[in-house]
Amino acid sequence: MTLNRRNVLAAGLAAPTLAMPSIVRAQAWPTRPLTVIVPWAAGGGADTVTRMIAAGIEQEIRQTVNVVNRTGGNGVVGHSAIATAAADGHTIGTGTSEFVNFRLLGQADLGANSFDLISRISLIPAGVTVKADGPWRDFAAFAAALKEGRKGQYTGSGVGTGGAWHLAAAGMTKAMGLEADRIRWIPSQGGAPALQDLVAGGVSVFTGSPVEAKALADANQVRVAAVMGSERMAAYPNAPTLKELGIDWTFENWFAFLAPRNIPAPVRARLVEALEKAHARPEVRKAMTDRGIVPIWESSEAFASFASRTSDTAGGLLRDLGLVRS
Amino acid sequence: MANFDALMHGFAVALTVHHVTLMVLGVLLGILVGVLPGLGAPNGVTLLLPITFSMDPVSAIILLTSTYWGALFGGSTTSILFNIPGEPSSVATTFDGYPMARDGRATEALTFAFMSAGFGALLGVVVITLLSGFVTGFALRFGPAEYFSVYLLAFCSFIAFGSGPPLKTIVSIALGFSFATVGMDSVSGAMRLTFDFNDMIRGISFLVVVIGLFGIGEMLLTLEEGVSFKSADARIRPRAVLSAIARLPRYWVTMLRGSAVGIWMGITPGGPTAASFMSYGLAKRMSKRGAHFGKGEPEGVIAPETADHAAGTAAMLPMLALGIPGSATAAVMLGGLMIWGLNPGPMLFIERADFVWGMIASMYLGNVIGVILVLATVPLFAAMLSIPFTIIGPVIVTVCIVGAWTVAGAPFDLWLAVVFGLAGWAMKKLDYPIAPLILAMVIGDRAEDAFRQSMIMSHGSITVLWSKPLVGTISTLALVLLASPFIAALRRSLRAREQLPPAQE
Repeated sequence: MTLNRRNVLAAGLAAPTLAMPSIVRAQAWPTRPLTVIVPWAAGGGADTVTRMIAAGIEQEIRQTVNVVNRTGGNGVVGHSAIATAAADGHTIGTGTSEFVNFRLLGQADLGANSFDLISRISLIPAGVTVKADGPWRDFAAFAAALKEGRKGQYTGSGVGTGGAWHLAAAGMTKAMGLEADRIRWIPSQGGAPALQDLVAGGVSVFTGSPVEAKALADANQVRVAAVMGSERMAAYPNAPTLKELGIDWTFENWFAFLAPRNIPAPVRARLVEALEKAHARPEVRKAMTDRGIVPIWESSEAFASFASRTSDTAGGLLRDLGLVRS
Repeated sequence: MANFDALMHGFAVALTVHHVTLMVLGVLLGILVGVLPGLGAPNGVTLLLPITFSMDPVSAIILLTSTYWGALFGGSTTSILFNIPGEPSSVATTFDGYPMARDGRATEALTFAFMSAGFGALLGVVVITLLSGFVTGFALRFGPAEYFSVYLLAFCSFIAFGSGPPLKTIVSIALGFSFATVGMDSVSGAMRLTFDFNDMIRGISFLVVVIGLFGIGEMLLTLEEGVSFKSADARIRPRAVLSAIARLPRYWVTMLRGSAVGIWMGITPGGPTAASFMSYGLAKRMSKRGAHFGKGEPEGVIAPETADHAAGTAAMLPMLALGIPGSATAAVMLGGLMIWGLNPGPMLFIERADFVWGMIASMYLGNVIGVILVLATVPLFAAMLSIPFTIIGPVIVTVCIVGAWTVAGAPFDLWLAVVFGLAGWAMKKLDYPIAPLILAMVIGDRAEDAFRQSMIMSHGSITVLWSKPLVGTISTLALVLLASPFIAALRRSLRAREQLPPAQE
């Protein structure tokens, strides 16, 4: 690898006293195995996507990539581990949409500006999933019931209070001209238990990812009445998008690569390049699309402006739901 | 009979040299993982998961499930020998297993544990084989109210074990509940009892508490009393193993009851830990020798072990058929399924019959291999008791600290383990029972979530616990169990009163 004059200059300007060591390190990156911190448990959505891409990164940089699950506190533990990791390009993390709202929810002093935002890596559309032998055949019937019923008469679940799928439900009812808290939220520990509650009859609607509902949909226990993505999902060709149904609302949960701030510019450039290449590998893409996960890669600037927009939307919804603590 | 044919086909898939080797390897790795406290079955399976990505799905699931069985077996070993549970689900095994070992009956206790565990596991697989279509529907009737009633039942069936003074038992339970409260409240998202310490956001890991209270606490106590482990029978005596096996059928009622509890808790899915506690509590209630529980009663080892393993195997069914994991380990495997490109659900049984039935067949084989391998290690582990304390003591403390580290890789947890070690020593000195604290930490946390979810659903009405036949039955059963000691006492005093007047006349 040739020494790029501009990179040397940039590194020199950024940290004059450390210029020499950082150039040496820049040349050598990666000198040891990479660590990718996942703030959620092994086997979950964020973990699965990370491991798929991690396999690709190993191919790109010829180094071991360790996926480390640092769970707890609604993702606070893992996200703060990413933010405070050594900024040498050997530790990155998979951030999930939760980190945008930590401050608003009073959960941690972490936000988009606590990280080096690299790119979103995947989108997971929300859906409207109801019980198969329940009262509603399609979304229109569900929407009508929601409008006729009392506020809070129907319940929804899929994630903890204030989580992504809760916002999906709140945004949907708002777009329908109803209150954000029209659907009473039953917090759950994740998709699987929420779906179980749906089938058991304790919950009226599941607004989590239809990907998670696949097994139960195949078993004719639940029906995906609509999806909240911008287009229909391959796994559910008959489920219309909310846009098609005349409701102006899309909601896609997302995962993203984050890094600690202040990684030396030359190292960062090579890191991002390796990540992008790994993400673009056909086998990585295929593994994601096979599962109904939409791959996405964007520039850091695009991601940053998306994060600030999403923070505004989410903030508004959380305020409507009365969940803002600070 | 279609299931039987499918199973035979499954055996054809599983009975290859390659797959049997994987089973042996998995079981051995699992035993190692199980023996180390802190490093539990979910961690072990998680560590192996990346290795399986390049394997074909049948081989992968065989390796992972075999590791799980091995971990379940291994977890009981340290429970019995050192009073240090290697797995959360083997906490209940310490209650009678350790006293047996101290009496010099370690070989017997280990044999009982492994054989009954194998029995529970096999019964669990048989149920999966025969009833795969029928029982999956059962899991789908479980909502938060049902979960809460099951946890209540586990609690009530265990609560009156009466080994400690009632007031101290209540203090211990209350402490357990408050430790379980620490961290983020999953219902409201608020931080509780974290005092703005970052390390507390994760909450207090139940594993670290177990390592401290049992492991380090036990070491401190041994140090103070200055005794080495009562030199248990260290010689290799296959005869003791065989005689214990011969006496096992005598406990068939306990084994069947334990398996039934375990299978039910695995499918519903309440998990192996709650199952083992519940089974122990029920056995103590129903056994004629209930008064001997806690002093080295074989039934007290058999009951939690059968339930633990039956739950472990039964939990695979809702995972495969519905994508609902019945235990933490099953949840990790569920992630594995997705990565191997398999979608759980009823279609899996049709589209990938070779995978499903190969896995079920491997569950029979894996557990048989597991029993044989662990039985073979009994003399080895029993021999560890004859190693001088000056050597084994530091080794155990090191293993405990390493175990506490593996839970989350957090230095804070090491201090917690030490603090809980001191607390464990103090609790034993002051005669506060430890088991209720552990039970409150494990089940209390999940019970709280389930209770609050059902309260939100019912707008705060407690009648939700009697809103459907299933949940109503479980709730009533729990209350009856809770009240039974009082009812028995009342009946005794009534009978005494009835008998008194004639005597006076």
